[in-house]
Parts: sequence; structure tokens; C-alpha cells
Amino acid sequence: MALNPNNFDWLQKLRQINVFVLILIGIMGAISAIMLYSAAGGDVSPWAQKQLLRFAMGVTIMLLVALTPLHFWLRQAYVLYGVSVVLLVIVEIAGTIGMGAQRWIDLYVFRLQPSELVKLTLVLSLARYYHYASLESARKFIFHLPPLLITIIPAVLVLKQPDLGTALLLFMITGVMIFVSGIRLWKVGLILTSAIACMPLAWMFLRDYQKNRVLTFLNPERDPLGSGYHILQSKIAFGSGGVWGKGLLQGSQSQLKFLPEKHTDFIFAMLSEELGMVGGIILIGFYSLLIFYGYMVSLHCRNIFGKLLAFGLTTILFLYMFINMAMVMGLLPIVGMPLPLISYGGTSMLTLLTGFGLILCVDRHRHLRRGLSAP
Amino acid sequence: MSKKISLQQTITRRTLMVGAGQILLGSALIGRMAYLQIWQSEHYKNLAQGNSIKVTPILPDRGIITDCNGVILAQNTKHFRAILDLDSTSDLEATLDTLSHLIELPENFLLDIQNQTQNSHPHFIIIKEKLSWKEVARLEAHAIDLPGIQVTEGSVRFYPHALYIAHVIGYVQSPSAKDLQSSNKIIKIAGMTIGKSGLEKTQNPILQGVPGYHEHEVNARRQILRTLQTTPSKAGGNLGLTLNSKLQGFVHERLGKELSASVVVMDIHQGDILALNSHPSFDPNLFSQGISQQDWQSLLHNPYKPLINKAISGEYPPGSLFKLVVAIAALDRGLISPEHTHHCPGFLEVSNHRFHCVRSSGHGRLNLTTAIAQSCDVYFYKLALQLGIERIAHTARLLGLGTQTGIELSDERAGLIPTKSWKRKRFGKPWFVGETIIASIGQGYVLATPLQMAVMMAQISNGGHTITPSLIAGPGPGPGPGPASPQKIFSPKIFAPILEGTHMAINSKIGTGYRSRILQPDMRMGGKTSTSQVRRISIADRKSGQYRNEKSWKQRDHSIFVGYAPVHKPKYVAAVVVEHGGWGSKTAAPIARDILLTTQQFCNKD
Repeated sequence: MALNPNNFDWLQKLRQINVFVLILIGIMGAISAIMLYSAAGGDVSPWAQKQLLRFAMGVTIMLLVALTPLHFWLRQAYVLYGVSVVLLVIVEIAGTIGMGAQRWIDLYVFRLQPSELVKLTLVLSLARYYHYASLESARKFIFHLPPLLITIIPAVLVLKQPDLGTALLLFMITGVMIFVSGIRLWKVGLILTSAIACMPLAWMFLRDYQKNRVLTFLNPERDPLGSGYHILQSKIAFGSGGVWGKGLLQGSQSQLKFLPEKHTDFIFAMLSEELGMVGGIILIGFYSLLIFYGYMVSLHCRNIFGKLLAFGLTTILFLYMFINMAMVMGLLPIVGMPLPLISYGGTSMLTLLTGFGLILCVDRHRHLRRGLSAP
Repeated sequence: MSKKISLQQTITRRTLMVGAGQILLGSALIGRMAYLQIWQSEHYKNLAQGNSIKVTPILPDRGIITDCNGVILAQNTKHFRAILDLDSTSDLEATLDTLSHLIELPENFLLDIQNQTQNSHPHFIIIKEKLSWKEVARLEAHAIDLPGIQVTEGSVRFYPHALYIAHVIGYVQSPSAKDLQSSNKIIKIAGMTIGKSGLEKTQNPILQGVPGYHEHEVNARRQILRTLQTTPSKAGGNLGLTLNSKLQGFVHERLGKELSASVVVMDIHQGDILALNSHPSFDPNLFSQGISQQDWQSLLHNPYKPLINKAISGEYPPGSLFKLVVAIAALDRGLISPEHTHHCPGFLEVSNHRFHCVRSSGHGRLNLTTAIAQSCDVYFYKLALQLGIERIAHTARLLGLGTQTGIELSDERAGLIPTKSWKRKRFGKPWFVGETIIASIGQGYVLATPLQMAVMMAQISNGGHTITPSLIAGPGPGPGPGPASPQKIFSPKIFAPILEGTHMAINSKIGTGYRSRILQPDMRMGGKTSTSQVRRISIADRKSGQYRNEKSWKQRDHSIFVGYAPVHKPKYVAAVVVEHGGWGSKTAAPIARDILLTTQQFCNKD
């Protein structure tokens, strides 16, 4: 009976959703609200309250997505991809200038950020593409070219905004998904080598501030009051927090505004200053549980679309977390990447929660094999 | 179908590989956290501390100086000053440019600023002291255009009786580059002043106080958010002096006509300095606010050296005053009795050289007392020949000559008491008898400061007790602590004939100072006139008879008088040196008379 999704009513469908994951997501929302409360110097405005509202909205969307039939997404994957690329083009033409980069469309209700949307649609499209593949075709190099192509189109558009972080993320997702889909390992090595060889070429296309960021990352003391300032202040926040932290609202780096963007990209530095290494490791623990769940869904799923969808979306979560954390700790250059589910901001949270909705959806359909590919 | 499953297997295997890779990356994150938050934690904690806290100093009030009656001699007046907080200025040049249109800035101002910004504590720079109300109003009105410029309350040293206490109190100034290298860390704080002369200099550690500070929490732009902690400053210790400002003022007025002179008045039992003047004087207030180049040059190049405290730094041949030393040496050694007489024919012939007496016709037969009273040279030439320079020098040292007295002032000179070994060391030549003879009348190599002369006479008139001259009574007004352990250096019996001689010198018709005696019977003074040669009298001068006072100022004799009063129960001593003033009896003695009379009137309360 479990095989036919149409036999379930809404309540039964809800029961299939993993409660443990919901609790984890709830905890993340609570951590986000607490940190934003502290970032505002002990005030729910301007961030914590709004973030909680968005979070509630996001969780609702996540649950709705979780209840949808999986084959809907399989069928509409390319359409959605197309829509998101069109939206990216619209942003290029008519986007509002914000923070020096055209990233969103002002819909008056909320700002739509198509570069976030495209992460989901790209994973959906790739999952669909490989869903119909055989192992033999997956071994062929040429078979992996279309995935690269559907990545390059949005990546170039995103890079023009300019949003280097998202563009790189798109390539990374595709790369990992191609890898998982069974490309020969020596080919992976070849691609990686040529990518490294292309890096000087890529350098020429970078904008001055992006070059600066890379140079500053390589040597933060190069310009301690300019580009290096952010990363230096962030490291001071980490280091001075120590093992146990300075206590909520007590972080001098955060509370005295030394730490830049403490409510968005640098929120992890603030968390580590106020809650210490212990707080940071606990947060990483929560992420690990979510990622572990995502991969377990992928491993247990019997259809390739679901497998790859869960895998890709979980990988996005991991990449977000890793890049953000590595960046604020000075392990990677600053690229403008929020801490998933914690940073203030609607669109990325919406993306991630929608993504989790899809993972939950896959979880519900993990036993399906052929039912998916029917029409 | 089977192919599908094998693709699924591949996916599963690769997913596990990716998972393993992610665990590695996650471990890297935790490793980095451990590195930053455990290993490097101390380093970053220090950086965080420096980030968030800004310390601003609170300047202490300098200690107040009062005289023996509590009259204020040095105080602090509050005023407004403009300061520059370097942390709050982004465009220093633009700010200073705006500023220069609003208030008049001191000359060389920009250069000063550059020097100060290179200082180790460059947080605050004083732009201008003593702002007028107009300037304060203008700065407040343009505050927005002047980031970093603040108007704060400051204090400036003020000396109400500036002219006549200048040499004792000294003055304060902003520390020089050399001062800043000293171990005194406090003066590195902008706005601190340092005593540069007089008591302000020697007592600076007591007077300067301890600065306090505010600890402010600041944001990334170093703007002050709130004050975390305030440690108040500790005002400097007050000083009560033994000095009597009324007497000091009187002496200043009395010296008014003289070109260059100095006076010391002291209590002979306690060693308390009651007045200590050097003439001409200067206004120490000029220095507190930053002296102008013009004023400084005129003080520096004044031929009468107003910046030098001649009472302690002026070294003069003591002249006839030194005869008392020779007399004490002779009595102490039992060489003569007070009744011992010598004949004075007006000169003494020693090894084919004629040493003249002050009275060329001669004094006839004299005993010690009359020799002192008439200041006969020949009598003391003869004593000196019997004593030799070493014994004279020994006695002179016992009386406090040839070494610093230890008064609480810097730049005190030691004077000079020559000996044979000194001469050999200094000139590489043997001592001649003739040099002993001229030393006996306080000429030749012998040098003493006015303070040393006063101390010497005090120790003679107090019955032979050692005293240390002292200006400081304690933290408040009152008498000084007195000598720590008074020692009798000579038997008082020795002094009776000496004091009889100094009594006669003033109060007997034969005495050299008779015209300057005090007429009030209970206030009469005794003393010794002295005329010390600046230039050797040549035979030609002597023949022309115009060898005393018709020369240019620089070549005239110093006029010296050291006296004590009241004559039968001595209490006060006064030493007066008028540089190039001519005869001691003519210039210095009348001044000393007036001073000793006034001292008794002002200070005899009991």
C-alpha cells in the first residue's frame, strides 16, 4: 500500500515526515533567532523577529513541498530550470542594484533572488538527467557534457551580477554530482588538473575587488584596515572567544561593531566569540546530523532521481556550511556565502528549506523504483 | 535493470566517498577552530582588548606651594584648552586648516604637531591653552567641521607673587624631547608639565601627582560608546615653605635699584630659609603657558643673568668675610689667644713681595677683635702665615664652605676652598706662600656662594652648631623640621671674641659698618663687611688712587655683607652680595641692615 502515493491522505502523508529532522530544523531556527537577537545588541528587531517570521514561512513551504508527489518534480525539472534561467536574465536586465551587485528582483512583497533558485533547479535537472542514464552511458565522457552546459549558462549569468560565490557553488555541485554519477576517476583527475591550469586565465576575468579578496586571503596583514580588516576582525572574534566564549551579548568584537556583517555572512564568527569553540562545535554537530540524514535518505532511496536529488541538495547544505565557516576562519577567501539556516536573509533560507522539503519528499518516496519514471 | 542497479551501486559507493571527504573537510574546520580558539586564543584576546578599550588620561592637579604663613606662592588656574584627539580625526590637515581660520595658532604649530604625533602616546595633543571665551564659542559653533577637536578644562600653573619668588619656586614647562626620554613616564601624557627649575624641578615627584584615566569602550571607528571605569587622578602633594613671602617681597623691593644682587636670610638655629632672592628676576608665569621666542631670547641674553639664581649659583671671592675663618682656625688650634696682638704698618713684606692692607697707613697694634672690627688685612696675613693653607681649608670646610649646602634646589654650586693638592691637580703647580696670604682675606682661588656665606655666619652666631639650610617646612605652613642631628663643630668659647669683633664692626665707631648699624637697641645687628676684588689691583692703579670704584661695572668689586641680629641673642642671619657693587660697607651693608631690621619686625611674633 505504501507504493501508491495517491492512496494517502494529507494526514497520513504528514506522519511519514521524519520528526527528528523537523526538530533539528526547529533548533536551527531557534539558534538563528538567538544569534540575531544578540547581534542587535539584545533586541528582536531589526532581525530576529523578521527572521522567525520568514523561518515559519520557510518551514511551511518545506512541509508543503515534502507532501508533494516526487514525480511532479521529475517531470517539471527542466521547466523549472528554464524559468530560473529566465529570471536570472531578467535580473541582469531589470534587477535592482543592491550592495553593488544585481542579485534580486523586487517583487514588492519580497525580493526574489534567482541565483538561489537556480541552485535547486540545477540539482533537479541534473538528477533528472542522470535518472535516465545507464552505467555504460555514465562511463562515457561525452555523456557528462550536457550537465556541464546547463551549469555554465546560469553560472555565467550569476558571475555577471557579480556573485563569484554562487557561480563557484554551482560548478561544485555539478562537479560532485557528475562524480557521484559514475564518471571514471581518472577523468575526474583530468578535469581537476585542467581546471587548475585554467586558474590564471580565470584570474584575468576577476574584478579588482575579487582579486583583492584573494590576495588578502593569502596575506590578511597586507591591508589590515582595508580588505584584510574583515578577516582579521573575524579571527580576533574567534580567538578571543576561546573555548567557552564570552557569553551571549558579551562579545566585544560583535557588540562593538568591529565584526563586519555580523548578522549575515560573519554570524558564525559572532557565535564562536560569544559561545566559544563549544558553541561552534555543537552547531557543526547539528549540521552533521542534518547532512547525515540527507545522505541516509540518498543511500536508502531506490530511485536514481531521488538518490541524486537528496544527494545534491545535501551537498549544497554542506558546501554552504563549509565555505562559510572556512571563510570566516580565514581558510578560504571571502566570497559572500551565508551560514545556512542561521544567517539573516530570506532567500537562501527559503532555498535551503525548500531543498529540505524535497529531501523529505524523497524520503517519503524512497521505496519507489519505477513508479516515478512512468509518464 | 541490472545496469540500473549497478549505477545505483556506483552512486552509493561514490556518495560514501563524498561523505568521507566531507568528514575530512569538517575535521579541518574543527582543527582550525581549535587553532584559533585554543592555541592562538591569548594573542587574539589581547588584540580584542586593544580593539575595544580606549584610555584617556585625567591630569592631576599639581601640588600647591605656600609660604610659612600659608600665603599661596604657586597654584593652578583653570582654563579652557583645545585638544586634538588623533583617533577621531580622519583628515588631520583639513581639520587643522579649518582650525587656523577660527583661532590664532602658535607659531611653528604644524611642526609641533608632527613632532607630537611621532610621540609614543599620540592620542591627544594640546592645540592651544587658555582659550578666550570668544575662541571657545567659535570652536563650539564649528564643532561639526572640526572632528577630533575638543574643548576641555585644563589647568595652568600660576604664581601670584611671580617676580620675587621666581628663583626659589622655579617654573614648569611642557617636557622637552630630552625629558621624555627620562624614566618619568607620567610626563609622556599630553598636557603634563614638568618643573624645570627651582623647587618645581627638585620637588617635581611630589608636586606632579598621579594621573587618573577613563577607560572607554569604543566601536570600530574608535568613537566612545560608554565609560567603563574611571580611576581618578591623585593631586600632587602640597609644599609649605619656610620662606616668608612678605620678607621676600621686601627684599625684592629693597634690591630694586641694584643691577645684579642676591640675598639669603635664614634662621640660624633651624636653618630655615626666610628669604632667598636673586636680582634681577623674571616672571615664571611666562613659562607655564609656553614662553615666546622673543621673551626667551631677551631673558637669555640679559647681561645681568635673570635666569640664574645667584644666591646658590653665584660664586664669589668672599673677601674679608673669610678672615673669620682664619680667626676661628687660629683660635681652634690654640695658635693665639683673643688678646694676641699684631702690628699693622699698612703692608706685609713676604719674600720680596709687598702685601697691602686695606688701610695703607696701617692700623697700628691690633688684637683679634679690633682686627675683625676694622678688617685689618695684615693681622690675618700674619695668622695665615702661621697656619698654612691646609689648616685654613680644614676649618673652612668645617664651616660649610667648599661643598654644597644641600638646600632643596638644583644648580647649587660648591664654591672653592683651595688646598695644595687641589692646585697641583688643577694647575700642576706647587702652592706659593703668597697664595696663602691672599686666601686669608678671601681672595685668589677662594670662592663661596651667598648661601654658603649665610650658613657659615649662622654656624658662627649660633654657637657652632651645624645646620642645613632648608626651604621646605613640610606639606603645609609651619617651621621647618630643623637640623636632623645638630653637631657642635667648635667650642662656643671660640666664637665669643669673633662675635665681639663682628659686633664692633657694626656698632663701634672704629668698625667698618658703623654707618649701617641698626639704631633700635633690641634689634641691633653684628656682621662683617667684605669687598671682593674682581680684578687684581695693579701698582699703577694703586698709585693713581682710583682703583676702587671708577671702573666699568664689570670690573668693580663685589660688595658683600653678612650679618646677624639681634646682636646679643642672634636669631637671624642675612647675606647680601651686590655684584660689582663696590665697597661692602657702602652698598651691601645698608641693604643688609634694612633686611635684618625688617626680618625681626616680620618674624618676631613671640
